[in-house]
Amino acid sequence: MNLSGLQIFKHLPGAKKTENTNCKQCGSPTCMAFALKLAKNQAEIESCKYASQELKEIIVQNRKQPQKTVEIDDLKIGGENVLYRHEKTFVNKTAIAVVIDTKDSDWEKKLKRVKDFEISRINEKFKVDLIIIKNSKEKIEGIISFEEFSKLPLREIKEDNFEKTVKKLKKTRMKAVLEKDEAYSEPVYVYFKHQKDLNNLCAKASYYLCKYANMLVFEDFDEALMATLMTLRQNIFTDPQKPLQVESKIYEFNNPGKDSIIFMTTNFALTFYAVANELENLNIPSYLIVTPAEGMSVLTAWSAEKFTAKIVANTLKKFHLAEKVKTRKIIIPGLLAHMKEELEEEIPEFEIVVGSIEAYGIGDFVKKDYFV
Amino acid sequence: MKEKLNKIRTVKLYDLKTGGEGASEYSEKNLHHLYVLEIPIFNPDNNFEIVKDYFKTNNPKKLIEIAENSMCDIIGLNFNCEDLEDAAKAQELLKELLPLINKPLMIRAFAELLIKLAEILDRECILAYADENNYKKIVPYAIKGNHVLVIKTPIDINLAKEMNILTSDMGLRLDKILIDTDTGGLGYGLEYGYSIMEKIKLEGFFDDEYLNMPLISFIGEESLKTKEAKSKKFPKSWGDYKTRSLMFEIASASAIAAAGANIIVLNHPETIRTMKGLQR
Repeated sequence: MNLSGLQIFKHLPGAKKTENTNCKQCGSPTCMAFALKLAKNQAEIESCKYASQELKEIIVQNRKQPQKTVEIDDLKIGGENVLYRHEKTFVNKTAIAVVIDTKDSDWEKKLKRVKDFEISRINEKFKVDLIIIKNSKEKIEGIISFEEFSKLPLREIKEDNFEKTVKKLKKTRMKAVLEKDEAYSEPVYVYFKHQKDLNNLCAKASYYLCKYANMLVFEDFDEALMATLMTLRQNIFTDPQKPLQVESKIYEFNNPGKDSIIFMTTNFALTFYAVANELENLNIPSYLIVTPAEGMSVLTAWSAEKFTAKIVANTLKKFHLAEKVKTRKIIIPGLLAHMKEELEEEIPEFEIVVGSIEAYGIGDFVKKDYFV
Repeated sequence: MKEKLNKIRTVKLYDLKTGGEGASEYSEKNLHHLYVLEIPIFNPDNNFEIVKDYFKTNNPKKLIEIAENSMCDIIGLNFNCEDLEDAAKAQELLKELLPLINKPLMIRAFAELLIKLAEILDRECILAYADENNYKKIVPYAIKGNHVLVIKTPIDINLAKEMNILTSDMGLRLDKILIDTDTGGLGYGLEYGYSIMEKIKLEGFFDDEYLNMPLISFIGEESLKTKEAKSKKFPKSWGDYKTRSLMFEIASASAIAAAGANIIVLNHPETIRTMKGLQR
């Protein structure tokens, strides 16, 4: 854990009220100001002539990176600073690697499947992060050999017994983060040998992905397993410091044109993702107008007057919607059905269509109600 | 960091205990979770496709038999109807099923129906759930029947605390409360529920007596209702539909276990087998 300015201040003359209190020789106006700079790594402890040896050691310890980062081409592994994602956000998402053994009869087929694997979810594309090849004499571009992998400065946490593995993973991260113990500063990986029960593999891998494997290495390869783990990883590694809102703008799905259908919702992130995912999977081109609502969901925004006819009109004007498209219908969330008339008065150039209440109802709504 | 760390409150239901774990991340008890198999008992046909395929029956009595024989710790009966006119029918069904159920029981229904069902219960159960709008109605019934009550708040730690204070002011014992933080399904905001659970756990360890109750999560249904778990129309890289659907429930259950949920409510017996398999 990094020390705060206040914790550092306790060791300086200012806190001890000794004769050199606030001497300014370090360049800061007070000891407190100096302590705050030290905490942010904006000052050096050597600037203070009166710092004790103890404080110097504390500062050195404080500056240590809890966990090292290992880089393989563009892939970064480790470098984590915290135990909980709400503290600061995790830095590098758990790398997912697959092992190909050329002694297996169908290894070429497996290699092709692994290479072809790609999923896209909410503006992100995911592939298998690293392919490791065993027992191959030739060097294959973009793939590392098992020997190269073994030489990486990573620590393996043995996957033999779930409870033991979890405890070791937790202990390693806690030693690194809480104590900055260098013996635990290497990023860690779990190596899954081939197993029959893929559900068990999914449960274990999901747990280790949350706590606290920096990398998971699989001998087994299954598309559904990979897609599931990467979906979980996308959740756990989103930055919790960002407010739960998305930018207010017009989002496009499936290359819309002048006649594409138009949806509208507020900029609450969860609402947006739910709707965006539906629209992405609709397989018809569409626009989604996202109004600025300080990250409130539709009903909350409406009751707090953050979703009003005026705000909608201004948003449309700002993004020149009427000029951009020929479509003259806007689909609003079912929860805001009561706003239909009010909206049509404020934006007479558009007809307001009341859509489904839940995002998952969009598909049915479009098929059954919109295009009739 | 030197504050005294305490244990999570223990909640008991007959021989079953949940909570009681210490703050140490290495603690054995952190890895011990209870699993509820929840069945949409009033209208069993209104269930997820992969679960229906597994059950192969809509007969409530047969479903109870399957649940009794499954690896679940608790049987959850979700009276999935929305009309109070069905109350008498629901009560009849519950009366009929109660003698067949030996495992600890959780009952879920909307508030008005839940209290009607509570009237005929012959044992202590978990009732799900009370929230900001209906707790005044439900709490007296929970107290009267000595039931454990799930209190649900929308991903908000302050509201969770407030609700625990309000309900305990009405006389509900603090060791009769399970906190449901609510959560998004896998891929749909699971991380918000995940982090709120972790935060509540930490407050509990720091001895906040209104936040140190065990956590319950209904993650199964949230994940099974996602598009990825429901739709066969996904590109090849998303793999086999049935495998993916089940894995969506498994992965989310495992993540929520990692976040510290004490009781995890699931829908597929295979997910329960898988999760129980981790803790032997």
